[in-house]
Amino acid sequence: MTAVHPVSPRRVTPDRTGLLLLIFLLTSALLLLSHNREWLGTLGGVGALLRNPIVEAVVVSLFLANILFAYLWRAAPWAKALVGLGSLLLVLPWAGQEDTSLLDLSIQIMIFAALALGLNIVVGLAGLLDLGYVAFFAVGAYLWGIFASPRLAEILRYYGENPGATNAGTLALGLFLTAVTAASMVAINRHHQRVPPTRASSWGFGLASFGLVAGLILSARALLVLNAFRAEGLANGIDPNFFWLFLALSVLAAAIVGVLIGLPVLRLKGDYLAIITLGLGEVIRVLANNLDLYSAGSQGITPIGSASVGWFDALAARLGFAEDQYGLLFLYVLSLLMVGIILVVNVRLDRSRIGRAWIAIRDDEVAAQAMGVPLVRTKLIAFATGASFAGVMGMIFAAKQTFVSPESFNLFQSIGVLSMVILGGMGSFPGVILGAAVVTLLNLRILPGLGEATANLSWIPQQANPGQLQRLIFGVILVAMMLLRPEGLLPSRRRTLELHHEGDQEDDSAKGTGPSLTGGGGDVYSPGLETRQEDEPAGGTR
Amino acid sequence: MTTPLILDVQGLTKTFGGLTAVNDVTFGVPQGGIISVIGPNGAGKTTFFNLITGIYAPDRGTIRLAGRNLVGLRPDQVAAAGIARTFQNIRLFSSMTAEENIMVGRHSRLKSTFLDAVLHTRGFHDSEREARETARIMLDFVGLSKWRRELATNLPYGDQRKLEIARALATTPKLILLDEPAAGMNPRETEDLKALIRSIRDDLGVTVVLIEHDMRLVMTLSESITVLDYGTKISEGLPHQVRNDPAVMEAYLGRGAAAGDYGKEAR
Repeated sequence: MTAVHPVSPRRVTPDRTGLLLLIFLLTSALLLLSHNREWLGTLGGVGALLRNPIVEAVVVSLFLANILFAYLWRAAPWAKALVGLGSLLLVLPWAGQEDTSLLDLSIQIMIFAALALGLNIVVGLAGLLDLGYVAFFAVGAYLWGIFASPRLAEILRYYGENPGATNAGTLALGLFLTAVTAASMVAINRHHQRVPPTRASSWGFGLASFGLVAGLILSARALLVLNAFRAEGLANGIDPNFFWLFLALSVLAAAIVGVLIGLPVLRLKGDYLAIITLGLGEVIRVLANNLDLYSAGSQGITPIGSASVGWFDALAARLGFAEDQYGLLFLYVLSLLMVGIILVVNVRLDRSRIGRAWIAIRDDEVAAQAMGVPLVRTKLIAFATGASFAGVMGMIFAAKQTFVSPESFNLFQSIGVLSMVILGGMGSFPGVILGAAVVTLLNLRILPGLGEATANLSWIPQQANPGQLQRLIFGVILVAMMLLRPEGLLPSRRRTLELHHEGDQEDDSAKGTGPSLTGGGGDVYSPGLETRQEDEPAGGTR
Repeated sequence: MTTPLILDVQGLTKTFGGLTAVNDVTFGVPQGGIISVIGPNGAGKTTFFNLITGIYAPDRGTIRLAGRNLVGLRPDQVAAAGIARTFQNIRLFSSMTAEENIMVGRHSRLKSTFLDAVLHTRGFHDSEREARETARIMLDFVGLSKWRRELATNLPYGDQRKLEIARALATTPKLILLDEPAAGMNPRETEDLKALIRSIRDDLGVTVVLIEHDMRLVMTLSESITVLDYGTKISEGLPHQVRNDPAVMEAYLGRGAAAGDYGKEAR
């Protein structure tokens, strides 16, 4: 398991450059060694030990903990950069060359890290409990899944056989309707900015949105019918070069679905919002399960293509990767890039007008609104932003698995991502990434490894085998974590201060919190107040 | 009154089920005035504020701010139109620092968009600088500069009230509504508050309306007092007029006591 130190931002920690580099070299060597069959063969007993699934899981975890140490410890910046980039760009792909499952695991961790970052905006920053988050992941996955697989040809063939009365005129009508209704919706919306909505203008808006949906459906149907003749040429989906376009489209589509789901539900708060998002999340899954024509139902869509980038493949070949590893390596680099971009977007939004508005809404909706924060719009932005991250990662997920089915998007996935956010530390970006890594490692490596390693031990009764009890162990770990560190593994600055402030009297686990957390609250003015100014400000620096 | 009305409320009515919380209240605030709204507990004062700020929609009546109709606007639109407020029970953003609290108050005045924030455009940096500068000025104005980086909840009680006022002022309002600003304050803090409220009007040119139970503060500070009881306006006028109005005494002290003099503390 990844070791986690209590964070104490105000305590000056010793410089650990040397230790960091040493651990990096050690764990890298161990990782490379344990994933190289030839070297393992020459090691005899040690080799056998390293091949033990549980040992292997620990080695991988320790290696990934490097990046955590580089983030947490005080060390020379060059050493931090070396360890971070070296781990992710050099050692991990190198080890992955020998054992593709390592790349697969890393991509999975990054997908979940991005999902957790997205959900963190909705839950951690804006304080909206969303239990149907995985729906947006499904949107991205199915968008690419349908277009990059034989499904597209099937759909076109169907419309070719059942054209109905559709012709070029239908397309013109559909586009016209779309344009007119969209324009009138924008106009009415502008109007509402200036004067309060009247009953007539509200009905007008409703009617226009109805027309917009009708227009879009007409246009889409017409496009499908008119392009039905292309079915033969698209037997394996669209050209892989469209991957990049669809990367943008998946962001857009998920954001739009986010707004559509958000609009009716964001007037609710708390428990009600949680239940209704849970329901809508299931609606998306049930749709995927039942729209047989588009999603192939519970059978799922397969095979799904991926991008092929000439220069990247050439580079991979140069570096000694096997041909069947190109795709995975490409997705590894891509998801690394995406997580990087998503992280930057998160940090920048957090420190902006919008980020402040999100936190204000979380803290006190009424006060936020009275200070000029438009509630619905700000919540919608949170929903759409979180959704768009899920959308793009859904697409990468589809490309990696080459298979999507409704089962990948059930409620447990939503809850899993939520547990990553809570375990890592709501509102904390490094925290939720760590949470994603820990939960994914536990689920995919450590617990299965434990099960595998103990499967043949005769002294453990069949019923008590850890392999059978994976869920139980995972649950116990979650409960223990929440009891010991309710603010998460790497809590956000705000959260630590808040939790330990409120629980001052009874919570003795307040390790590593600042000195100025006592008092406050309902205190009236006291002359002793001035001394508190001497204490370090608990607000930290921005 | 010769000065133009900045806030003009006509026939405002709000019922909750069978209870008429605000009943046909007409209320005018002259530009640059300091006006108090008083009344016994449950008289509908806070509901009245909630109606003006758009938290509740009135059943009847009009609310005009400098001639512009506010009925039907959302609270954030009312804030953008130029009415800021504080709350009876302090409602600061508890996980934010004093500075950030005030920067939220700046929300409706900042121009930077989502894309500006993501791309760190010049517009973003300009608006962040502007917000930070406003926060600095406002913290200075209410005398809380030393708490800039402190979490709002860690401030002493009286300072939290002041921070709420600073946050409201950061919206650059035409009119500020203070809901019991002196509640829970000791006499010294109340004196400070009085000076602060005067300064809001004199130095910032913001018109002030306050709900208050501290009669000494109300009587010495207000230029006009409006008295509500059971949602109805029962009296209005200069402090000494209101003080001697039998209807007011009756509302506060009961029918029998109204015959005597207004000697006891009126709450």
